[in-house]
Amino acid sequence: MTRAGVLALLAVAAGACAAVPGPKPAELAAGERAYQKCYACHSLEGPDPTTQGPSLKGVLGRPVAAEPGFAYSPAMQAYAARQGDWTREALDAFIADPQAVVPDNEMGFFGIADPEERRALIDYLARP
Amino acid sequence: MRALFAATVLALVSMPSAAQDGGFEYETRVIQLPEGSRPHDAAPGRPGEIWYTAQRQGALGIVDIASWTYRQVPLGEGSAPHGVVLGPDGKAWITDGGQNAIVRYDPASEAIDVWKLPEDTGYANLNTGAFDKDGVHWFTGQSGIYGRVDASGKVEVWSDPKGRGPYGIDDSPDGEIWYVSLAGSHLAKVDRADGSVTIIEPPHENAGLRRVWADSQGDLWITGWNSGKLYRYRPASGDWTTFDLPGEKPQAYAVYVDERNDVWVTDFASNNTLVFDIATEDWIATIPGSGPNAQVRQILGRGNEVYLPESGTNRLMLVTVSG
Repeated sequence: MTRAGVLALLAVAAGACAAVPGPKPAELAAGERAYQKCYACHSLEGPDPTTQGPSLKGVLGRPVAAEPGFAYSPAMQAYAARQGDWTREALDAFIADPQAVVPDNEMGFFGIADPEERRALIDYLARP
Repeated sequence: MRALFAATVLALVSMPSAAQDGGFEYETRVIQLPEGSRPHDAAPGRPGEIWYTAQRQGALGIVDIASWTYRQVPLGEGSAPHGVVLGPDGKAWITDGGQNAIVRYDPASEAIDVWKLPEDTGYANLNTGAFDKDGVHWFTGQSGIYGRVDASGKVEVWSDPKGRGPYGIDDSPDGEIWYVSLAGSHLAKVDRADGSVTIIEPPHENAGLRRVWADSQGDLWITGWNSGKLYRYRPASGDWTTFDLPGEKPQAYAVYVDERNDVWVTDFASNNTLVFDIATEDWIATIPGSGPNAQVRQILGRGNEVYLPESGTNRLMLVTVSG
């Protein structure tokens, strides 16, 4: 590919990025604040044997209950069989009321009622 | 184990049930609380009352033992209370994760004080509280903090040296404050003068120390959530002793030492509450949850009463010990 071709491709890519705006910095900051509610039990750096929950690194789109070596509850395993992957909608419903979506799961967290806070959190977890 | 007996089951929700373990008799009563209330912790309230935190409904629950009825007091917008203890002022002191605040409820006037953590603390995931011998309320936050608030509402917060995890907390008979860290897997003694802590490591790596309770001699009884062990730490000598819970893969969660000096431990794996005799070092009784996955996350009591809040069944079990 010529230099002009590469530049043209980059221009198209830049245009594509502009057409699908991601979360703004303020929204990511809101998501980072919301993640503080998860921080005690969930890392963002990959599996951590000292934390009580699985890592949230790359959770969006990942199969439910799929972290190698993590001892998921029977309730979470059954939910994984039903749900498949962590879609945005599934994460939103679970974060809103974990016990309603997966009764008898072992997570002690009470959920986030505010849909905007949940959206910001999911955006934050979805960032590269 | 000297005895295994059936506790109150669903059919007996409003009726007492009794069993004997040879030396002692354990009578259990279960009260059904609101659906979705997720009672997390319980504590003695005013005489004849049990307090509990309705974590999912942002309320303090009050059970009247004589009439065996309950009511719930809303604690404020966004409330999600985790722990509750009876203060020396006769009020309920609540670690409220949802409001990121220590909340105090006065049962006489029904007034509620909300003391937010300092703004720069961030979300602390507030956990449990205890009072030192000077009447100062100390608390833990699972995001990696511990702190104190006095009766004037002055709040101070410190960072745990190992980060995330501070969970159970208790005062020893000499009025000192100890807490354990679940993720940090350590015991900590607080220097009440300057707020610093001394870290003490358990005998097993990543034991996941969840809760701590002092017996009448000042020995500390600690549950290992990851290790499935019950630990005794003797501050006088610095010695640790390990006790195995029954079963294949126990998950030791709550621990409490009653006024007879017996140790109560909940095991999520078996869905039982176990009673341990300090003198014989033997498990002497088993109290099953009132239903599947009862999830008793904390234990407290008063006199011959022991309270088992069941977050998984939205019930509270009262165990009365006699003999």
